[in-house]
Amino acid sequence: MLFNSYLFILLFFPLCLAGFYLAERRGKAALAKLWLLLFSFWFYGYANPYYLWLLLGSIGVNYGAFLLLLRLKGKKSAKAVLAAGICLNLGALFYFKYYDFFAENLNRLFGSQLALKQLLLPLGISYFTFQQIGFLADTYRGKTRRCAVLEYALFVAFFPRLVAGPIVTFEETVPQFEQIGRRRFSWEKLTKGLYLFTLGLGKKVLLADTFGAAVDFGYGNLSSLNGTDAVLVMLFYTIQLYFDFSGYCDMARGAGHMLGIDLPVNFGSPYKASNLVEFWKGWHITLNRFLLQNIYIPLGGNRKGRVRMYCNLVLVFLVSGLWHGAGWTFLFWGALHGVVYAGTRWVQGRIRIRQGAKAAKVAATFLFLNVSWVFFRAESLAQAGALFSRMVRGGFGLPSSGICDGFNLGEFWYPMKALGIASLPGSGMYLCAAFTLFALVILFACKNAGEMEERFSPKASNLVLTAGLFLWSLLSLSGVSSFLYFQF
Amino acid sequence: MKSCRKWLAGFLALVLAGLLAAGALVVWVDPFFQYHKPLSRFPYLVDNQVNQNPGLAKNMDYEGVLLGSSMTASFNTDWFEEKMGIKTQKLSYNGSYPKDLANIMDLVFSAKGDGVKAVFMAVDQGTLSGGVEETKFPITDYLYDDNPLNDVQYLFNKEVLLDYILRPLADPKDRSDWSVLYRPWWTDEYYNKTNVLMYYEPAPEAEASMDKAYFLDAVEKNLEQNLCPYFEAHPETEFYLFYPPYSILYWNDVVRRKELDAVTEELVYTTRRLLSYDNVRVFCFLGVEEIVCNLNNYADYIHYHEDTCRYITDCFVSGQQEVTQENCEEVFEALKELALTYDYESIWEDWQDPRPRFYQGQGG
Repeated sequence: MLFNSYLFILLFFPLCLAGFYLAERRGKAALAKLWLLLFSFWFYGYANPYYLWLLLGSIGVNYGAFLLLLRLKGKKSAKAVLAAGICLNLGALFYFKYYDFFAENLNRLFGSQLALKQLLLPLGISYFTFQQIGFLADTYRGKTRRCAVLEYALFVAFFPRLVAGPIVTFEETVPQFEQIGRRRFSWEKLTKGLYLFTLGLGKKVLLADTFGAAVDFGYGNLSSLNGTDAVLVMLFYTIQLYFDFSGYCDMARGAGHMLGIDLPVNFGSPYKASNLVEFWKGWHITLNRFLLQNIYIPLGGNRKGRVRMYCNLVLVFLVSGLWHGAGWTFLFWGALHGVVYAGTRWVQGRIRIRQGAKAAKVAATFLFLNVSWVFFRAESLAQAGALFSRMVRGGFGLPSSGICDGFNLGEFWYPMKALGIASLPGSGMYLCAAFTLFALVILFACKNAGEMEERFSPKASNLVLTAGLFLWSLLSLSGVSSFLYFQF
Repeated sequence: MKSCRKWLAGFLALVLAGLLAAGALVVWVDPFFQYHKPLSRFPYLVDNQVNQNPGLAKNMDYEGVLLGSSMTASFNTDWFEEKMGIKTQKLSYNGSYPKDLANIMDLVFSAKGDGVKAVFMAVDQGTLSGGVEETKFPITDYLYDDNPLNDVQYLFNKEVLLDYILRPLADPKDRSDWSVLYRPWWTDEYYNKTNVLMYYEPAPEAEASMDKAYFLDAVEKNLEQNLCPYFEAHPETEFYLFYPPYSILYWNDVVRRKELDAVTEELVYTTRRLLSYDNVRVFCFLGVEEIVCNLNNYADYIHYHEDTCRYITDCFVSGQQEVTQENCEEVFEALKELALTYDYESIWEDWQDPRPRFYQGQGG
């Protein structure tokens, strides 16, 4: 189920909230948690009930491994249980996500005839697999404690974060689930959560999907793009991905807040970063934390010399690339980020760049991100190459109508007609330019949604604006839409 | 806390009021005709076949329907009433597959039951062998089913509000003419040989001939699932099925792809199967030389002028071009002969043709 769907907004979430708080208010904590869990299963199984069994199986196996690890604490056999748990999780992930990629490449390399399974990727499998691997590792390290199966199931399946993160730790969520029934209801949290959810909904529906239409057109018509179109397609995907993923993260945290649960911040203002190291402190924060704790540090981190550290960094980004998708484009994207990240770390501390150059550094980082996202979006390295080739060989020209059309939304037709703008030359491009400018201002000059939520205080002005944004977004849900980060 | 409660109450009130207003406006105007007949004075814009046909099928007054691809788009439904006394609703789907026809027939028969006197249907050879579940465009389920819950997608829909309610009000000159819904934008000047040849590119030539029985399996499945069940379930309805007159350039492509034997085999098989039902009549315009060999009748290599549509309607009354079990072989043999022996090269000798359009100023 999508957050940005009529079903979620008009039925699922109001029903979930009402039942949850009713049970909690009557002191029935177990019922409230069960209610939340059942809604989480509904949320997950809505698109494909078959994969609910996978989620249930994953929860069952990992909870069993967790109990075993607690019992074997300090014994040598605990390591074997941890290894078995990790293997089982990675095995499932490999089977569903990577089998075809490896089989295809082995077939190509060795002429073998491994049959492809062409399985539909279960939603969020990378998220709940990594989260549970991290949990087993934390248990092995003694960083968790016994918890009931209900709380554990909620830790894995809590719907606001189930399909696209954040990847949470035991300590961040389980104590909060245990407090259900023993805490005070907060109107402020509910209000702020609604405000944050609305900001995220608007980002996704009104901005990400609008830029997405131009991006889809561009990638679908590469051979007909001129150089300007190709540059815009690259830029628009950078913008789309930001609003798509940050919008999702805002909705997830907002929904969590409305249920009285704090989820960790997963998204800051990454495009304001002046280098790649800073960028990764603001983009998909909890995934980076997971990779740091479970890959970079066990590999030796920075304790075994600088060369080893740079190798470890590149390796972490290769894993990150592969985590995002089973394909050479993602691996290449990961390698690109790994090399530039390691390079940035090498430069830091050696070369002092004067303070005034911050704008140039932000611009250079943004340019690198634009280029790297091309590999993230392209279906193949050849397609990415084709887009770059159009930038160079396509020649300068005005943006084509296919790029601009998606921005000419119906709601702007009336004011443009009334103001006589619609009949001016090149009027088909005005909204494209206005959207781009607006998006860039948000990216570089505005506070992010999390900061806005923190500063939020109820006023008549933000009431009207928030309700208006919510209504506008809700009425714009008619198109088919899916979150880019679900596929990971 | 108090201010948060007030803010939340205000938020809920504003959102509910907004949704109520949007929903009420959609129900009242109902631009996709899901709940009632069109309002008499509203300047409806009908240009969206996938979204508006289901409502038209459910709520308009009619005794007959015109179904099919863009081959039906130039028909004027008044002709059916004038010539046959059957008030007819056009429910075309551009590029429709048999499944599209089945989907809309489900709605037509569930709305009108035994009250459907006639179904006029264009049968496109090229799509008869498509997938049995294949539709040209994704179906908007909430407009095709009876589930009132998913109607929220219609009631709270920005495009419905802006493009189909407010925009027609702001620009009422775009209002649709009910008799000629979905009429193509081509004006008479576009129907000429020069224009057709300018945009026509011959199909690449195939090396080997297509197997004669190539299409039969798929066609059989489509007939079984998407067409014949309706002939069987509605013996009270007369089905007028017609093969539309594609231009000779279509046959040039068929010949170049070496598909002629397979195509004629498919047509003979389909026709015999259709004619096994007493309530089905079949008309074939594929080989009417006055139409197909005169490119002035076309705006592109398959789309013909409304004069030709009028002729087709007249044939439904007169019985001209009707195919029967007796003349079936003969009709398609003649078509094959035309396609095989036509001097296609001569088409490009002169890009202009002095002949007038077929049936121009006739019928009516």
